[in-house]
Parts: sequence; structure tokens; C-alpha cells
Amino acid sequence: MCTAVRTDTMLSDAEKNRYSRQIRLFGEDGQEILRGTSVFIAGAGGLGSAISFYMAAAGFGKIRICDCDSVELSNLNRQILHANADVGRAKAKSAYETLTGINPEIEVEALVETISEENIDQLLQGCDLIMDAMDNFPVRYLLNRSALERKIPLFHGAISGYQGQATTIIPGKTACLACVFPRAPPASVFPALGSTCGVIGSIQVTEAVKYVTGTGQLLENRLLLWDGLCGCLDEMAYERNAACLMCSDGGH
Amino acid sequence: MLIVLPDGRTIEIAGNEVRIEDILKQLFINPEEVIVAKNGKIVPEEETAG
Repeated sequence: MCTAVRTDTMLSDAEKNRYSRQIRLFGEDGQEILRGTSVFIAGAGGLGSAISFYMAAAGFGKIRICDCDSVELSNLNRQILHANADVGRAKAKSAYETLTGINPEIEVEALVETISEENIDQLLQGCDLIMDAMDNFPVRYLLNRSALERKIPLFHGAISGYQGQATTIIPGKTACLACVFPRAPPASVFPALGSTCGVIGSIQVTEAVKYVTGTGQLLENRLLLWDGLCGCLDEMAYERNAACLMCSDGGH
Repeated sequence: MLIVLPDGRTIEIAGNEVRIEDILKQLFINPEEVIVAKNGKIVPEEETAG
């Protein structure tokens, strides 16, 4: 008599069905790795919406998403995690409902928190990678430093209007975010188009999938630039700054 | 040397071994608002061009 043995790492029939179209890309092994990956998404706004939607759909096993804000009407042109009825609610709570609705097979932890020096270690506890969905560089630098300290990748993205950028930071292998952007741009209320968030957020998720499944070429030491006005993609190479305050030996 | 501006226009400026920082000042561009690439690679302001 044969007995079927199911370990915790094996996909259920429902999972095999749910992820069947992407399993064709990286196999059940790759899907199991995705399921075993914990991600931290910094922000549930424009980029965070696109990122978390696709990470939940792809089956990243644990998603921790953090945002301190409440939903406002002016968010709804791009922050598709949230609906009209969510105006006034905490974005994290709205995000939790949306993401668990998309994929009940994964674990979602949604935190109403402001990311800071005081709580970043706790927020990143147990996470394998960091998705940058922020709208300001001070917190991006904090995420960068934490990625370097924890030796986990940071998937950077940023948008303004029709334009956006993305790159992948692998501590110890690539330049860090501070090498590329040694000074923060001036803080401002910038234009934001939902579809630009979709383009850049999707690229960030694709990078994370490739990293976890070990497929394709990452945006290592390459800054991808999207210009929606002309429909152009461009890239610029960059390298480590030997005098970087964050990742060079002199900076630690 | 040929400079491509953020709005896509190109201009030519004279000079050899000019610091990027000085080029930006000449063009009234805030260095905090741009990244500069030389031959397809992002370079710091201390780098020279031309």
C-alpha cells in the first residue's frame, strides 16, 4: 500500500492550479521558494499598491506592509489597494483586506506605523527582502542602511508624473542606494499618475521574483528609467562609490 | 561637449575637463534635482567631462 506524503514545502493542488501559469516559468520548486519568502513593503500608496497586488498574486508567502496614513480621496487616482469606501480608513487595514481577498493562501501582516530608526529593526524582523514603495528619500536611506546591515536586497522604485525609475540593490555585490543618490532631492508634492506606479511597481516585483527564483538578469548596478511621455525605457550604469558613507568601509 | 538636458534638448558647450558640478552651475541646474550620466554611466559631481 502506498501512502501519499505531503510535506509543508509541497504545493497543494489549489496552489498548483492558482500559480499554474507562472509555474511554467520557474517550476514548482520556484513557486515553493516564493511561498517561503517573507517580504517587507514600505508603503501602501501608489507604488505599494502595485507592488503588493502583484506580490500577493504571485504567492510570496508572507507580506508585511507598513503605512502610517489614512486613505484620502486624492489618493484614489493611483492607490488601487484602496477603494472609495476606504476614505478615512487606515491604509494598512484597507491593504490587509484587499490582499487577503486576492490571495487567501498567503499571510499578510499590515501595520499602521511610521517607519523610523526606532522601529525599523522590528519591522524587518524575519523579512528576506525589502520593497521600496516610499515617497521620500530619508526613509529610503533608512531602508538602504537596513538592507546593508541585514545583507538582504532592496528593490528601489520611484515615480514622478509620467516618469519612473527602478534598480536592485544587493548588499555586498552592487552599489548601494547612497552611491547612486548621495543627496536626497528636495522634498516636494510631485505629480503622480497611477499607470506610472503600475509600470515601476511591476518592474520591482519582477526583479524580486527573479531574485528569489534565481532566474534572468537583475537590475544590478543599472538604473532603469521609464518615460511614459515618449514610451521609452532607458538605463544608466552606476558603480560603487569607494567613499560612500553607507556602504564603504569608511562609512560603517 | 554635447549635453542632453532633462527635457531632452541637447546643447553644446565648450571646454575640456570641466567639473560636472560647474557645468550644472553654468546651466542653472540644481544638482539635487538631477542625476548625471557620462557616456551612459552615472557619475558624481566631482567627475570631469569633456
